[in-house]
Amino acid sequence: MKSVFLKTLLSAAKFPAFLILALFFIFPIYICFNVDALQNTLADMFSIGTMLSMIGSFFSLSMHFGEETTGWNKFLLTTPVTRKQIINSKYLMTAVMSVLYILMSTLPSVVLMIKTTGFDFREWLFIFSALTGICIFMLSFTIPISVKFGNIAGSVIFVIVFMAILSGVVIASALLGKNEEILSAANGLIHTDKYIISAAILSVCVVLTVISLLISRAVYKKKEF
Amino acid sequence: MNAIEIKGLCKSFKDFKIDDLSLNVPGGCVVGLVGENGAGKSTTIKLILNLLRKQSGSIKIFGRDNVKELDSVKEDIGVVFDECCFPLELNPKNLCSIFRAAYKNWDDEAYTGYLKKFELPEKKKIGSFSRGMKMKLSIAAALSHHAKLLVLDEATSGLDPVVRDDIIDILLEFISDDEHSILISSHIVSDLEKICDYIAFMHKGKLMLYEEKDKIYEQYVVIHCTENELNSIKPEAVIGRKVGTFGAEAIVLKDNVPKDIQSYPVDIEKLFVFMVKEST
Repeated sequence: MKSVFLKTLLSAAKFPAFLILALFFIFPIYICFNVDALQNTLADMFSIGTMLSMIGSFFSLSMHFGEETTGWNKFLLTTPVTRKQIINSKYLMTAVMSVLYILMSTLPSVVLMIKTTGFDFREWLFIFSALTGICIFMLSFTIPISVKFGNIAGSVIFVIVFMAILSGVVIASALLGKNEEILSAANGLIHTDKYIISAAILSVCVVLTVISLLISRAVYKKKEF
Repeated sequence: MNAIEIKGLCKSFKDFKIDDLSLNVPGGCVVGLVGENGAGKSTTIKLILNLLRKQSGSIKIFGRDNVKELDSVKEDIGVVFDECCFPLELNPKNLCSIFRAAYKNWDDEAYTGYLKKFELPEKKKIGSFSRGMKMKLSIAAALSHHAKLLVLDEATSGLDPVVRDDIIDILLEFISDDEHSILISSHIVSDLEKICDYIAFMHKGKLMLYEEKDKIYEQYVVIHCTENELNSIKPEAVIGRKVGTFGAEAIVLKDNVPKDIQSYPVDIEKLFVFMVKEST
């Protein structure tokens, strides 16, 4: 597994520095410094966080599952590295990288909290777990497709699923937003202990990841090069 | 002990199949897999390395099953594909770190030695290397973990004669150790003629001939004669023929050549071309 990690890290080090800086730091920090000027609410910060973490997850997906062109994976399979190890390490790295992006993406929310009501760990955990939930859902859906059909197909599916979710949310809020019953149910959900909601979301994330990992392993075991 | 042992190997695709292929790579020997483009050489190599899944038959590497026990023998195999598979954004020094983590027997000194010998810059991006440099780098990587078996798929194709000769020299040096074996595929027969102990001809997914190179030279000859003279030879002794306005050229079994017809030593390339044409 170490060789797979090393390859990814060494390849990442060759990426244009501005791109990594932009993705990791410039966007979130820029928003942090403009929280007052933008007069945003926590919900707006959450939307920005969602966009940032999505970009991060997409970047991470392309980085770890986009190596078919050079035949590196084919070659790696002739070394003592096993198919299982390749998939495990790619999942691990994608997860670690995505979580780092998500943590950075919560920064604007933290800054806004500090400047307004004060830092609330429970609120932050809720935002973090919600962003993680969205990203893990996207990735666990997309990675097995990338493994089976290649990174281009995976990326297209990623974008399609994201657009579908986004459209679904917009349409649902337009249609159901004025429905009193739904609004009161949503209100009730918001007032549920955020620790419980966060724990539930993170548990679902773990289950989704494990299922996705098992599917990808099964696909990769039969993959021909 | 055979380094590779293939029995009754079958694999079908939509428009092509490897059909009941049986082939051995004896320990300490070089086996050349010859065939035209699309004959099934690369497919056979991928099946050996379990990059393609066989449908039936068995493949053993150092006596171990190539699917269930491949991981236990990968340490002893060095592989060179026809294209450089290394990440183009990395340099040879980066590769060294990666392979050090992958192979237990990785030898930094040997790798650095090969890089110097091949005049490959350690810190230059692989993407900026020429095809010859990339091939040399692939061979350096394949040789630096003390592999006992080298599997080379069209490693010399598309290279200039000087680089090809360099690579042949490296392979000859590798095979000087009695424990080392090589399976090399190519359609450049002259390269294989220089180093192979055994020649395996593949055509349309089938093994047409598998023989010791020296026995091929002993058994077959080229003759130039008239069409009538050629017809007087037993048909089963004629491997391939070319009849033109000025007479006939054929490859025949040496023992069946009439004394009044002059014969010449056969070369592997001519034998291969005649066999393929005779079969179609």
